[in-house]
Amino acid sequence: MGQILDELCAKAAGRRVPLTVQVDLTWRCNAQCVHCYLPDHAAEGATTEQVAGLLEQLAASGTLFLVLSGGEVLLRPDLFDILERARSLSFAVVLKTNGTLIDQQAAERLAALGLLRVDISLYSHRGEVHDAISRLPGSWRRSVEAIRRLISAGIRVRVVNVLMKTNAGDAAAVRELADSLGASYTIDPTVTPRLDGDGAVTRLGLDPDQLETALSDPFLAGALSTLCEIQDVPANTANEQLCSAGHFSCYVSPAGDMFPCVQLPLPCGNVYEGGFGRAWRSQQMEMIRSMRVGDLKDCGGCPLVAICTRCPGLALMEGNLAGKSTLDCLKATVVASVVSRVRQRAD
Amino acid sequence: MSSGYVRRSSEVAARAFDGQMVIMQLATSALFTLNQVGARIWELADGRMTADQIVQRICQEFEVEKAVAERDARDFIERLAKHGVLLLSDTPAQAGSRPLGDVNGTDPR
Repeated sequence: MGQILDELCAKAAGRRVPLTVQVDLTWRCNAQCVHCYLPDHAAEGATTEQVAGLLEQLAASGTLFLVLSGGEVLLRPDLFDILERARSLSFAVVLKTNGTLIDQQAAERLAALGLLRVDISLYSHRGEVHDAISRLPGSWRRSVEAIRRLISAGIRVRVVNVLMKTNAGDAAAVRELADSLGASYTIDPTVTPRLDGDGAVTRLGLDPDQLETALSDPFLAGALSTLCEIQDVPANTANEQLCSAGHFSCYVSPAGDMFPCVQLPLPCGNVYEGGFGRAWRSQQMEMIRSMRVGDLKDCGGCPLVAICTRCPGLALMEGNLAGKSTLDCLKATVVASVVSRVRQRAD
Repeated sequence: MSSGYVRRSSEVAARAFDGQMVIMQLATSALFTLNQVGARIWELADGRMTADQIVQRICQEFEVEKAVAERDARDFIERLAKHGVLLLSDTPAQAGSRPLGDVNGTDPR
């Protein structure tokens, strides 16, 4: 699938087709995760009819992958109506949830809809550590039960493990737990600032030693070793786009505000007021699309530019869209160190 | 190949853009890109036409040699049926049933 998907993404970017769109249906949540990037949990979101109208526009615009998230999406009483509408429009739907509200009936209803995948956040293999992060007592047990129910119902589940100072050492055990449950697994080693720019939560993120340990895990080091071949800066890096944000993907908040990405708080218009196409073609979106690596003056000459996963959103939240993202500078340095060690072992 | 009724599976996601139809088999994440003829076969596979009828329609609609069109269309239906993307049945779909994948995308520009 990789090659076809790559070609599809490239074609979508070239034709300005929003192949992947994340729609947050609500910012309300039953958990209060310590690292949450949402500025508030009051946003109830659009009406069922508004969301249905948006889905029609997305289908007509060429969107194939629809990510429905929150907040906790299962707090929407009309979630299944929206999912049925989405599937009748033939989207490949990914549902992001903490899983705590997925009982047997919900699991069976989700299975009947034919989703591409359900992503469930799991912070630890230890209930007390997970619950201290989610600040929802009993949430670990309920999330794990949901994973079992969903997989038993025939739905593919991916465990998403955000790593912070307090759970950094649990990654391998969470992966083993995911394996034992029949779920796939991914980590997110970056705690991002809140969308309103408040960076206080980033203090919860991994320190450099922990990041290096996490990225040195053989499971991840295998993936990182593919970077060995591109560690030298290619001559044409300057002309490359920054990331997929705005090129073939975007994010829509519960209130309908479009951003190039969930981590790039640059408002591009409101889809419920002006329509999806207007926001998708907005000046702000075109500005993001026009940016190239060569425009990043702070990064010029950096030997790590080829392996850096610099996030323009994090840079913007640090004050300059075209400036440095300190978090990504640190990550690139650590990745380079890990890659170097992997190379030495291979030699 | 069976000349049974051909129907789009409901276990897929599908979208048209740039003159192609993109199909994803959700259980496996397998992706298929269909050209104009493939997309037309996909569109016709509503469960109320047999493979023979679809092949005939393709021969009528596209300016290709009949033998080639027949062979390619049958191969195509058989291949997608093997992947569970198209379903073959001895009986037609009930009137009023609406398989997935009816929505064609357009360029948003």
